Amino acid sequence: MKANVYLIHIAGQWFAQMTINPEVDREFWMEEGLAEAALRADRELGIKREQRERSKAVEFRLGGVKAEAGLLWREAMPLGDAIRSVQLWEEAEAEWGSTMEGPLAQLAACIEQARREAAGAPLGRPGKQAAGDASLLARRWARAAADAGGSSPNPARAAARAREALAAAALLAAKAMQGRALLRSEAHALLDGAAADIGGALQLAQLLSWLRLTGAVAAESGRRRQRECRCKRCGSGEAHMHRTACAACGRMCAYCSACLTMGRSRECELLVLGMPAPQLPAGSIPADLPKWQLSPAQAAATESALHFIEARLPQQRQREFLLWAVTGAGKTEMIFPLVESVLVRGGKALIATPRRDVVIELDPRIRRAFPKARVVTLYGGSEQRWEAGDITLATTHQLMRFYQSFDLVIIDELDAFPYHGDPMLHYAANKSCAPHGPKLLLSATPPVELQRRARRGELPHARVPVRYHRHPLPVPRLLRTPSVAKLLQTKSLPKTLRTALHHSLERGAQLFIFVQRIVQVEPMAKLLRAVLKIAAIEGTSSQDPYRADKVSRFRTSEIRVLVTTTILERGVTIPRSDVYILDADGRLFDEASLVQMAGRAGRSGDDPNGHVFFCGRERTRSQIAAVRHIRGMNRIAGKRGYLIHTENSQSWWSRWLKQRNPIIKKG
Amino acid sequence: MRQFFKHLFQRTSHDLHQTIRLLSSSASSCPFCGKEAGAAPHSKRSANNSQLQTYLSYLPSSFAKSICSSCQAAIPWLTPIKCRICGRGITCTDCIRRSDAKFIANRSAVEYSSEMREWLAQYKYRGNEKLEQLLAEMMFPAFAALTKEALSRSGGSQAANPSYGWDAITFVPVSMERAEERGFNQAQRFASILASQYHIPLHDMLIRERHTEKQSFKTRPERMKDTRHLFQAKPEVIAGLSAASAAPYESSISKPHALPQPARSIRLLLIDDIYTTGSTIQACATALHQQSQIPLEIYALTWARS
Repeated sequence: MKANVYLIHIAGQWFAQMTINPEVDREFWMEEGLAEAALRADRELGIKREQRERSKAVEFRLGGVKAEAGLLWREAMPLGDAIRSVQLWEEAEAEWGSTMEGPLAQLAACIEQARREAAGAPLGRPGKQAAGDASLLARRWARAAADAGGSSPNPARAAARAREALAAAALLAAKAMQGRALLRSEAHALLDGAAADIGGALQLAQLLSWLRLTGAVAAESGRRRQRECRCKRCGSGEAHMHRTACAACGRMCAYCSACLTMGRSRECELLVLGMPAPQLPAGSIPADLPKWQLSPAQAAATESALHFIEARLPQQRQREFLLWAVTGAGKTEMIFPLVESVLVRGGKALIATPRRDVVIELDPRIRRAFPKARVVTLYGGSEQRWEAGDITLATTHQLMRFYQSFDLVIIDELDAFPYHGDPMLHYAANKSCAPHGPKLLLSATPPVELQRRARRGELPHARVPVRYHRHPLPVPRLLRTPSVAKLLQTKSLPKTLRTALHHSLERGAQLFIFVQRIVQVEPMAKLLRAVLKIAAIEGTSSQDPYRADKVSRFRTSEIRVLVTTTILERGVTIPRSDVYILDADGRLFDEASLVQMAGRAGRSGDDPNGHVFFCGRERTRSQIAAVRHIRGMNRIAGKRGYLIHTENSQSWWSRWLKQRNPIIKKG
Repeated sequence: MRQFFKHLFQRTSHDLHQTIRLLSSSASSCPFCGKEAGAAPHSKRSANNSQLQTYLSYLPSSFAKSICSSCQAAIPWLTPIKCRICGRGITCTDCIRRSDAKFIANRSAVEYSSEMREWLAQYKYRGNEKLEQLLAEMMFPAFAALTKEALSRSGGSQAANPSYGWDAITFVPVSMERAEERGFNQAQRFASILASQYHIPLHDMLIRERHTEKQSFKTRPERMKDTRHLFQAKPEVIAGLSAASAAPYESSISKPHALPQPARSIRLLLIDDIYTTGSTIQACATALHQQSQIPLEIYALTWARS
């Protein structure tokens, strides 16, 4: 889109401003009424004085001073140019001081520099003077004739009503936009029906610093003094910029190809940034932990997380807390007290996770736990897209639409695709967090980098080494088998594997069979149907349109054996299940993935000792690391006394002592 | 100092990482599905379908390399055609009904299957302009076929001029509002790529008068009624074009009395993205005929036939 720039002369000083609706600005500065209506609305909004940054000019106007003159630059320009021109003016203003030649000529110089930069020049300062006579390029704002109201009261009353309506609409826009970062079309969808003139409402709200209007993609200084662009919404840099001729602004204009699926962010597109969330009162509310019926391990970790999120810490510091909880530890129950702490203090909490399936599964549990709170669930195609709530449940992609919104950000399954390793989603998550807000990271298998930071003491963390039912994690057994390709080729299974499978079926378990490749899913299901001689065997993958259906049939145990890929490595919980990981030596299964898949077994207190088999031609470092990881967690759990059956988990040393010396009962 | 070196190292390694990612992604991921693009040529197509192979030989060689094989296999190429008028793969009653045709024929590159709908939506509505070149290239085989037909219809087997017998390419315009919202006009972009590929002059000849609702929400009669007076031709462009085409044959340019010039008519290629009922093409052709002093042969080339 295009925007305008203008100058106003108020209280003896000149100021430059950008506008997307010049008529609103003219009325605000030059006429009686709009600023006064806005001031009343501002009081209603009640933002603390220190929390806003309002320009001196606006303070003058709200103080009752009207502008002496206004000069509107006739030609509308691409949004980015308009914003940059004003920025250049403000930077240079201090230097100019009293030597200011003619304000319009100075503005012309700023506009010229902004255009040069847009054409590829490095960021710089405006020249001394623009060529030519600038006076023809601007239009002087007129004040409405003074007698307009005097002679006929009706139009005057109508105008007053219109001003009140505009101020009210701007106030509404400001409230609705709080904590959000939306493209123009999204802002229009959010405010649909709230105002006759949404552009005008946004513009007035911007004048009062109730929100900010920026370009969705903006230039920044490149490393080699070149002009480079960055997406303000997803944080992607020049590498993701794609430049095309744009009909909306009339020239080459960059768009961000990284966040295209969330609506196109481009240089001349408006990004509306709402006000940040106000700071929460610190200090703890006495937590009612017993209410949530946590296990001792859960309670201990939750308590230290609570302590962390309730503490008042300096704002600048990145506040992250890692909750490292084994698969089946009951992470969701552990976050309830944390969410409650934020809600009680009047804040907003976010629970985000990379996977849409997980969001949909969490939704009813959160609503059950917090029946009084407004819960908003966001994912691609969600119907609650423009609603605001106390608890927001979202896929990490949806976080791009938020700006400093949440007093607590919880990222669940942070090591899952696509969040892990995607700087765009990390940027979005950081952006959605209020400046003072803590971020809680949840994982059973945190990335190496986080583990290292936790070990070094740079990252506050708590570990939950045991499942909620207090039995140790099933330790995987390694089984030597030929590769899946070979099995499919010979259409047979080795005896060891067959025996294990039969044993699992006899004990009444449901089976997860993991393979590496999607193309192997169906053939393997077919082979198993033939070998095991049961029909209730299905295969599913990310490309299966009936995945949701098959998973729910697996849950109701209509399907006995499910052949799948890493797509089901997390999220699906079956009470009595055994896990077979075929091609466990394959390169697609890393330690985290193996631990997650192994975590499907023994989830229920009724059947805590499910079986896990790593089947492959050789034992790889990933397999060994995964087994070590699981054993390590069991050991910590035993040491801290979290396990029910201490028999199995006592250290070798104490078992040995007991054997040697039966008198020593407890080691 | 140590901190500085550490920082420096982190930064360079980060840069390197980015570069590698960028290189690898641009080299091998399919622009349509995002998966790894195999360099495998259309191996799935059996050799017995030589007709299709000849047809597809007009695709640029880079096309097969930049798209993964499963996406390539998903393209429902519209060949051979049944309806000589609208270019459908089935015999169509619409074209038998038609009486006052203002254009000679339409050819489309592909059938508008659900995959193709998704591809076009990614470009047109999501704004993924990286797909633009590939989508336009998909029209090359249909362009070649249409050109051949147009030439044989006019009797000459050889093109009279170097631009394959076409005097100009033009496109269906979008309204100002739509252009601003979307940032581009897909028909104009396709036309421009075809024009530069085949060295045919590109002209912006039409104006969309009203901003209508999206076509896809309407029924056939509604569409027909709605689009009838939707377009206006730009008189100055048409005049310039007739002057230019007349110049080599006539010594004086403006000879309004000598108008019926049976020897020379102007052959126009009109580009759009989707042909559904043909009402848009019909309306554009009507507007063009109205403004033109000399006869026009109007053909349409569209990306998909729905």
